[in-house]
Amino acid sequence: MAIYELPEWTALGPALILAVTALALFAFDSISPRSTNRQLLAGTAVAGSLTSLGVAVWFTVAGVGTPTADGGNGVIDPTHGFVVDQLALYFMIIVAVVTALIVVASYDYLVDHAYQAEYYSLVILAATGMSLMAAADSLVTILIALELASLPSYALVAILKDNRGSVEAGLKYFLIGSLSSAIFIYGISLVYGATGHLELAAIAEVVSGETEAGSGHDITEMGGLLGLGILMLIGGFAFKTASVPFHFWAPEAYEGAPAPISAFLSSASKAAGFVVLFRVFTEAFPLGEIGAVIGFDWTVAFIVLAIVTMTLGNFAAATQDSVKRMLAYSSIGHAGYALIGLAGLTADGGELVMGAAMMHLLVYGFMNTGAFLFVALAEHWGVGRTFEDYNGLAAQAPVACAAMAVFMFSLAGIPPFGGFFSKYFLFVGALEAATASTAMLVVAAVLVINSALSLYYYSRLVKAIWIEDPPATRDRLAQPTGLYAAIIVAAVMTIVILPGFGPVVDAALDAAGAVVG
Amino acid sequence: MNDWIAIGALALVGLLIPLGMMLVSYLLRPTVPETSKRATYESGEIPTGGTRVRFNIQYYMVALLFLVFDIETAFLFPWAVAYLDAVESDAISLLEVLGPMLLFVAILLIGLAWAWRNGAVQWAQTPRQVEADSDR
Repeated sequence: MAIYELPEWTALGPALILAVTALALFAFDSISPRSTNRQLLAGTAVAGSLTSLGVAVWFTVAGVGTPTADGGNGVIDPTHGFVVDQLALYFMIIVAVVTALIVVASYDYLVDHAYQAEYYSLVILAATGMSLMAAADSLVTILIALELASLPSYALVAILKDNRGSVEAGLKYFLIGSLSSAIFIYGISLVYGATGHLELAAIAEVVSGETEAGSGHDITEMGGLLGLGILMLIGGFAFKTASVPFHFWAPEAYEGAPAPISAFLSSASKAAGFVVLFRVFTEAFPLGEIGAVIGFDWTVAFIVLAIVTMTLGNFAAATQDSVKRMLAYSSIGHAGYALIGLAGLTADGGELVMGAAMMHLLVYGFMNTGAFLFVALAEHWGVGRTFEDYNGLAAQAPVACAAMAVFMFSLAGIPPFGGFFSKYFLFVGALEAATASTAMLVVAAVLVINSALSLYYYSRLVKAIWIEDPPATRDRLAQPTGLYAAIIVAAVMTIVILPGFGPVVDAALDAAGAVVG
Repeated sequence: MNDWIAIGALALVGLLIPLGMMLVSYLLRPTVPETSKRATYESGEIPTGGTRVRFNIQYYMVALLFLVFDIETAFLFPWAVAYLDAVESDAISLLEVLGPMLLFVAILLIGLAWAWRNGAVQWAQTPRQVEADSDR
């Protein structure tokens, strides 16, 4: 196969392409800082993210990371601290897709904005970090990739410099982000202190007692230290995935940030947080052995977190008046759904439930990005923020509103759309895991109850858009090409993913099986 | 455990010596209160204004630019130490020795060039200059 001729470092191609794109944008901005050539800037960013997407899809099809037994090229170890397997490529695809969508949409959103090149290069830089997070398999590279994704995000949230809400959101996001980073680093240091290693595979060896006796890493005495470190790691990941207990930045940051950035953070950034979470906990702390060392299984922690996050996100979303805030809380709720993927793992299985969580993150990448981009469109029109302000938009912009209805029903998990299938798989996976621990029955029940509740506030928005009468004094609404294109692509993908769900299911289950098994 | 007793004793003595010196000088010295003794010390100058001064954002810019060079040094030194040995060894080609560092410096240079071109090293302007700038 042609892929064999490439050197191993090219396996990180999707991330490297994004990095080169970001640097090219910076270089362009250095050469002509006052350029108003928006087409060139946005075009470069779109080309970069689409190339990254193409390369990631090509690698997946060509069998990079597929185990050799299944006719693939095996897991590739491009350089120290990184690994490219199916899991990494799957999430690189999600990140690239979301990046491409929001960059296209930003073209219209950013009309008259002073910092064009900076905006695009920061977006691509953050995407580079998220893409690298998917492939990182050492705690150090994970931390650096996580910071590379976070630092540009702080600036992006606050990029509307004259908007009080944006600046305030940026500051809050930054403060909570630094706090959780500090906790995360402390967790890393404790894990390192207890095991003496930073690479995930080496940590797993120490945890399962495979290192020779007398090598100075007698893990049984360090159980408390390691357990504390693991809890702190969970704290760091909870920030990145916007789940309890570090969820409270999300509504503030998403509401204040420019809507495309909210879409970016709530879809790509969340997915990147989850891939690291999946990888760290399945590879470094194998379920069978870790319980003996630290005294509890980490699935217990995730069962609690999943239940609390789902419930809190959905109940808070149901009481919101502002559409963007409602979407922010619903995004917290969806983080809870994805957490089921870890809660349902068992020592010898669980790839169905984890694969379901990964499917959900992919579908979510389309439907949630689309929903936030519709908010971006509404901000572009200047119609206002609350549900009442959205009344009767369908009469004036039926296409975009039809797309919005698709996103809402898909987010709620109504059958004909992609969101139903991923939720269905999550439910089935949770029930399957319930044979091992009855607590998963509670999780499955909470999932159903919350989905039913979420239908209430999602359909409330659809009702406002489609059924209520528009106010008499609204001007004609413009039809910005970029925003429309991104929204329609996202809507089409949310529907098309249904007939195309077979390959997605296979890809997700393979990737989950590879790390769980 | 014995080691810890020694360390604890050392810490105790370390605390007692300065505290004892302060106590002795407190007991011996004459007390002559005077307003200038209580004032904030500003290198012998008479203090003016409060302590909560707003600093120009340019200081921050310079500090950020300093970071570029700071990180560069932090990585250049260990690299330079290993450089000669790496060049002489046959196992590593010159490209592998030089390439990563050149790439790293190039990335930093792009950052510096960007900051330079976007006015981060233009020193603070007087209001009149700012007006002239905005007229352009």
